[in-house]
Amino acid sequence: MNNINLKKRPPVELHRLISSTVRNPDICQRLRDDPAAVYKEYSLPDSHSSLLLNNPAEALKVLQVHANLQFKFLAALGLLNLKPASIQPYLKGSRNGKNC
Amino acid sequence: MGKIVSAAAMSHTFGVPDADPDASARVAAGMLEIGRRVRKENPNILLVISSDHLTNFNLDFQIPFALGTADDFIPLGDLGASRVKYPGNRDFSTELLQYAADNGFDLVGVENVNPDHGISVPNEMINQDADIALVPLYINTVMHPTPTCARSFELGKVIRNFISTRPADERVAIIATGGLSHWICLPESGRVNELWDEEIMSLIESGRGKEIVNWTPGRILIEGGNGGLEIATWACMAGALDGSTGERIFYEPMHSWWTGMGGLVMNTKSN
Repeated sequence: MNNINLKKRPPVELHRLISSTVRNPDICQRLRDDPAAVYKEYSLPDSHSSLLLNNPAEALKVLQVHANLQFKFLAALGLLNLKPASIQPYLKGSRNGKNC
Repeated sequence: MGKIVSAAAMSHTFGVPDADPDASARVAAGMLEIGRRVRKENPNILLVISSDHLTNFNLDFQIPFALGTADDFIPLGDLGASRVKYPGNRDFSTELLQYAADNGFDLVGVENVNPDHGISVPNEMINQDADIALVPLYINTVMHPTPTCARSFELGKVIRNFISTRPADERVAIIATGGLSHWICLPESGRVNELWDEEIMSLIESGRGKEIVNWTPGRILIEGGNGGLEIATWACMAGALDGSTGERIFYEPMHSWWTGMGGLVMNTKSN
C-alpha cells in the first residue's frame, strides 16, 4: 500500500485490535467508552496508545496503519467522513424475478 | 463441457445518495441491469471475484488467492447486504482448487467466510433470489505484495480451461468486482481519476483486456489509488474471456463516495 514504509515494523497490535472490531460490536462501544483499557488489553505499546488517545485520526497516519483498517477504526470511533450506506432501498421491486 | 454463459465487471461499493441522488440512482440501475443481463443467460454458478476488505482475512495471515469451498455462504451484511444463505457449489470449487494447483496456482480453499460487500453487493444485484450457486474467489489486493494484474489474468485463463473440463450442464457466470480509481484513507481520498477509469473500461470493452497486465501495482497506485488495485479482479475476468469484447453499462465519478463507479458486461456469445 502506498502509505506504508515496508522497512518499518507495522503496528501489529493495533491491526489485531481493529480486525477484532469487525465481528465484535462490543469492542467498538468499549473503544468509545474507555479506549485506554482496550489499548492495554490488546498490548499496544504505550507510545501508540498515547498517540491514539491524543488524536486518533492523526495517530493512524503516524503509525502507518493499513488503509483499510484506518477506515474501520475511524468508523468504529464515529470519526469517518463517509456515512454508512445500504443497497436495500435500490433493491425493492427487483426481487422474485420482477427485475429479470 | 461446461460453459461461461455470462461475464461482467463492476464496482462493488455503495454510498449514501445525499450528494448526488441522480448519479446514485444511475449506479444502482446500472448494477441491476448487469444483474438482469447475467440472469438472462441462466447461469447456475456465479463465480464472483473480489478482494476481501480485511473482514474475513487479516494481516496476521495474508493469502494472495483464495476460493470459497463451502456448501453455503451468509454475507457479513455490510452495506446492507442481506444476511441470507446463498448456496455454494462444493464440487465445482474443490475441483477448481485441484485444477488450479495442477496448472500453476496454489489457491487456498476457505470454508468459513462471510463475504463482505466485495462479493455480497454484486451478488445481491444479480442473485436476489439466492437461486444461483455462489463461488467466491478472492484476490487479495490489500496485502503487500499484492497479486498483479498479470498473474490474475493468467489465473483467469486457468479458470476458463477448467470450465471447459466441466459437465455440460454447468453454466458459469464470472463477475469481477472492485475499482475503479479510489484512494482509501489517504490525502487524495475523494479523488477520482476519470481518465484512468476510462482507459481500464475501454480496454475491456474493446477486447484488449490483456493489456491490463501492463498495469503493475506501482503504476496503479499512482493513477488508480490503493483501491484501484482491485482491478486485478477485472484482469482475472479478462483472462477467462480473453479476446471478447464488452459493453459499458454505467460509469459515474462518485467523488462523495471516494470512487469511480463503473460496470460492463462481456459479449460471451463471441467467446
